[in-house]
Amino acid sequence: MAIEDFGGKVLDRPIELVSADHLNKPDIGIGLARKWYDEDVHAIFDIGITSVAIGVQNLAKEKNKVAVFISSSSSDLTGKYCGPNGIHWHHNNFSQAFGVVKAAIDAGGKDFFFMTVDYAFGHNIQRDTTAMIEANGGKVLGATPHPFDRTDYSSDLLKAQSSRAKVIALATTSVHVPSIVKQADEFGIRPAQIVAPLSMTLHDVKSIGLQSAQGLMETTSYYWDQNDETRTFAKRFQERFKKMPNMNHAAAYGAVMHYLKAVQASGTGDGNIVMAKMKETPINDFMTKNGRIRPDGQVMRDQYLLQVKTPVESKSEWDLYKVLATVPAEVAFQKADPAACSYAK
Amino acid sequence: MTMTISATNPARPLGKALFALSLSAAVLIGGSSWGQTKETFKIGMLNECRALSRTFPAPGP
Repeated sequence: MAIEDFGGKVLDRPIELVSADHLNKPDIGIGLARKWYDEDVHAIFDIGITSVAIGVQNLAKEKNKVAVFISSSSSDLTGKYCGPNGIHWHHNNFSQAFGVVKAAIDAGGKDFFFMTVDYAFGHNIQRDTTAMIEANGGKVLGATPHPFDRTDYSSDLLKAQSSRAKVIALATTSVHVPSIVKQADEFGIRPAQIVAPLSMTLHDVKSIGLQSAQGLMETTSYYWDQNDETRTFAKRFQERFKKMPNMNHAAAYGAVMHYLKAVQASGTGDGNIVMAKMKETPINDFMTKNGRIRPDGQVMRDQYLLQVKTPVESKSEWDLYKVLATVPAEVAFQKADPAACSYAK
Repeated sequence: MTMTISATNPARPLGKALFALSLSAAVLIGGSSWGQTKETFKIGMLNECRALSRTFPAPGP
């Protein structure tokens, strides 16, 4: 959609989109990215899991290309794994967790137990969220790691239940959240304990169903039913793809559009030059107002704390959330850390 | 690079000659932009496709 809306051409050349599934395997993902960059692909978007994203970050620097992380969440992409040619587009694991953790603590949940997916992203979000919990007067009672391909969470849920922590924080991906929430209900974990997914999307809620998902919190960069602009984009997307967009769909559109405008304005696809143009240009589109890209690559933009509606509150198929609060960018993201990232100023 | 040669019929003698001439000409000018499809500007979308396209039901039990 972004390429079409841009006119299908940049620098008087037809824009060609190549796409591939890395199967969540770093060797496949990084191999594909290397091949693409060597075949004159100028920029790679989305990228997904952190272990692939870290590799692509290094490749973009090595080959003077651009990498835009959309569904990748690790804050290390603008920290110890930052790069001069990488942009973390709309959120990170800190911003995703912030509103949810704050809301849980405000509701009296001071004790936390983590269910953590056992790879870079899970460890990263647990680390950042632990710091957040402790800074807000909370305490972490324990954690249980699970492999990425786990589908039966019985043993993890029993550990979480027996910890007696008020909040069970899911430091795991949206691939796992629907199953965990449903299985938590089978163990009768709620309402005695709060289940708090730290990374969840609109389609996870749709998958879980409102009966189980009601009351869950999520911090997001986009919800389709926020205002006329977000609804207009959502309507176009739905007509084309037969479903509403989540934050990653919307962010991908915005990121590609911002990149193409920078290429056109720069008159080149050279990675360093285009990056400089992207960073000096404010981001303004249907979901981002006055966004800016920090020197470490983090896009600074507001986030929104959402709560899943009850079945009674929901008036239509995709009427899934209430918007509870806006989290200003300066609060939603950590400060840039020059000690971790030499590009941060 | 894509080249298109037309207006000749290789099945007839004159056509064969013209076809050969055209082919030679095409090879000779192959390094120029004449007759070539314009180079594209490539961008990539790399992900676990399920993550962006997944809706419901969710994978796994």
